[in-house]
Amino acid sequence: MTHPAIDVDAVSRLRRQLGRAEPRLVAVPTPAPAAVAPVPTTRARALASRLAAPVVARAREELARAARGELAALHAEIDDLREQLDRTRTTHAAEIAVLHEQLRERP
Amino acid sequence: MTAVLALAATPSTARRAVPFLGVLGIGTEVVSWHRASAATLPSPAAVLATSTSVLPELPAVPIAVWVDDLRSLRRAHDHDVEVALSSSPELIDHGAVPVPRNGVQVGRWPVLPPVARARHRRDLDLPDDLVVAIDHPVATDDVVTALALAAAAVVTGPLLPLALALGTPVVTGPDSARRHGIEAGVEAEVAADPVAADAAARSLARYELGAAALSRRGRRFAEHHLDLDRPAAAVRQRLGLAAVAARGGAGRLRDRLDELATPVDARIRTRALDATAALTGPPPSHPAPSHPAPSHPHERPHP
Repeated sequence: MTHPAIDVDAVSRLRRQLGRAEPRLVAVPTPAPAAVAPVPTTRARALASRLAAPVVARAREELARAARGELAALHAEIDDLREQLDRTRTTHAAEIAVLHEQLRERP
Repeated sequence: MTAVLALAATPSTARRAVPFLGVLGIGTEVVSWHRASAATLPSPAAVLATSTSVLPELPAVPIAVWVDDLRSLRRAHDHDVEVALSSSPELIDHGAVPVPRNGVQVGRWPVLPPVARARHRRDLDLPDDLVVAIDHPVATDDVVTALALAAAAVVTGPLLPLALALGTPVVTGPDSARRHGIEAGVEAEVAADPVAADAAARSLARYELGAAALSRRGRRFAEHHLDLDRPAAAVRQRLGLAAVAARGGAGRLRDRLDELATPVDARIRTRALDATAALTGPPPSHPAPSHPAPSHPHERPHP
């Protein structure tokens, strides 16, 4: 949920209050155990890694590209959280200052 | 080093400072003036006073003070204060900066028009005709979420500005309407008793066009009459406090657009926000441009 006013936990509580069942969780099938591959020889392993090198490089590039968006989203989330923290800290400081001003004439 | 902003107040007027100080003080260290002066803390860069009666004891730093009538406005001028604050239209006409009594940081809450609410309700498996009644004093996560998702809400008390800012189609009581300067049937429906309010909210939830119009006008009202960010930015500048730095590229972009006085419904703003949506989440929806924004933020007087 992307809107800052909508909290996922609050939605669950609201749904419970309205007597709505929680959405069913879809059971994730357990993967079947994979067959044990035969152990390759050293030469075969070297050949395989040489052949796979461009594919691995490409895959790394793609992963980095995909992560860039995620990273930017995480940065934006951190910025939001910092802003929230600033707001909360200032509100608390304001409340405390008000209390001090209200109580100043008391011994 | 963080600037110190001191609050100077009389015990009876101190409470009025909380909502505004909570916004004005962002990026500063907020302290109590009397506590700070007794404890010899660093001298404040500016003072926010809630009454002109505390002015004689304040140091020679930029001061913002609340004024309640012409006499106190004159006293503020005599003490050479930097800025007078008021929610009274008469004093605003005489140069006081308008600060809503019960305000909200409108920019913090992107509007959720009824069509977006309906989509969220469907996605979250909530009833399509979700109507809530809110009279809480504090905006907890549950309350904010309920206000954001409701098809219509009965809202009385201090969370009315938040409901309007979120674009919630609202039914309120006559007292709350009067206190916030709300016109019955324009920004919110007004019902005299709880039973009538419930019935009005249920009927509003079924009347999509009416709810959409109310949502749009409520948000616009909040932007122009209940926003705390705008007066805080103006007062911050006049007190010589540093502007709050926007965080992240999207924040800086929003700031530049504001600086260029780009209207909220301008195409360039929409395109800029769309372009950065991948980084910041979906851009806030803007009110339809059918009602041009007033040239002055407070052109509608509060009663």
